[in-house]
Amino acid sequence: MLRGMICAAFVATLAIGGPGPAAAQDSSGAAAADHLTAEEARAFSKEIEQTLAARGAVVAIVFRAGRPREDLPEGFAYTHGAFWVYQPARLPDGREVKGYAVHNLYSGDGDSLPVTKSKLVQDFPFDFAAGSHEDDVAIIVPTREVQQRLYGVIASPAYSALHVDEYSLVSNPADARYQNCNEFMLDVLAAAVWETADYAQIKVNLAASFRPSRVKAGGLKRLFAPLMDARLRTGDHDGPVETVTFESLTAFMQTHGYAQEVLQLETGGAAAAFTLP
Amino acid sequence: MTNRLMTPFCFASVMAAILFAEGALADSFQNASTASKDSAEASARLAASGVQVTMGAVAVPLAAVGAVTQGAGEVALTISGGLWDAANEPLEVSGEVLTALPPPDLTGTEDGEER
Repeated sequence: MLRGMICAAFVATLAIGGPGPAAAQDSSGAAAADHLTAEEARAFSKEIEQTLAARGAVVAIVFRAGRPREDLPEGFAYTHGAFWVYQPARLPDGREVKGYAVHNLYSGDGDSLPVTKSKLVQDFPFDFAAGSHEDDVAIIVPTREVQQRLYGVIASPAYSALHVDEYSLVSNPADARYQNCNEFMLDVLAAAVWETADYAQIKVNLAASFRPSRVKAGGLKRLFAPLMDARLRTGDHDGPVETVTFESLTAFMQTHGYAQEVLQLETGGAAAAFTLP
Repeated sequence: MTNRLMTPFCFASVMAAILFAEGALADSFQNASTASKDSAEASARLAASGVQVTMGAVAVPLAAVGAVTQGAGEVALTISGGLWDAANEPLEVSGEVLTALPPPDLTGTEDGEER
């Protein structure tokens, strides 16, 4: 009996411990990651802005690792992505300054909003950089045509209409029940390239043409996953857990000619072209 | 027989799940508490760091930058203005560092109540 219990506990431990699907995505709005100092986050946010501005990017997609990379599932380099839009800001003293605004989908903080819900939040590059647990971000610069189309959607009522407030860390992009930050970006991209705000049609289109990233999760992990994080909802998956990642979004955009450039930018370093493995 | 075999597994599994779930859930709680304390903590940390940031800036609504219309089921992409005129020209970025202000906490404050 005792041996059976020890053995079973070991199996259960393997099933639950380690980097699991809970870390696949993280649209947490908790700002400070304590990885970069305030000064480092300030400098890094400006480096990202300058990288985008040097390329004349009006709309770009930027990803950060909201958790230490060593805690992420295999094949997942980043957790949170957002649209960066070249958009003037008005200061409290009335001056207008030029730069980027960041358009995010954040999961609830469990305080003002349940963690299983999400909301659309616009903040700024410093807020984005301060939430990074790593020294790098990934950047997708869409083609000029796609930037224009994305801009049109983000500026229109269709943008908020595409938001599904039921949140899952590993939402299935082919299913309309749950959404996370990366699936939301994919939905906005789909609205832009197919020129439709019909969400049902977008889901059908993506189910047919988008290849999501598979999260390696054994049956026991799936079984115990809800105990780990309430945001880990897998009811929208019939088979393997597959979700939108930087990697799968990049592959989709490159395959169909939507991406002009894909970059990786390290703190204090120059941007380097990113190639999918 | 099946029950006898499953009992120790279920017990140990639940125990292990509780132990590990505590750690995982703590992460969520930490996020929540961080989020609720963001305003004061972030301000204090930034002040202590000497980093000059501007709080309270507001992004100019995109609709004011480019005209966008939406028809039934279709997104019409009629962006106007000079934003797209100079294709791929470098854009200007100001030196100001902006940060978003969290929404004011109005819990426990009812209309007409003294603030």
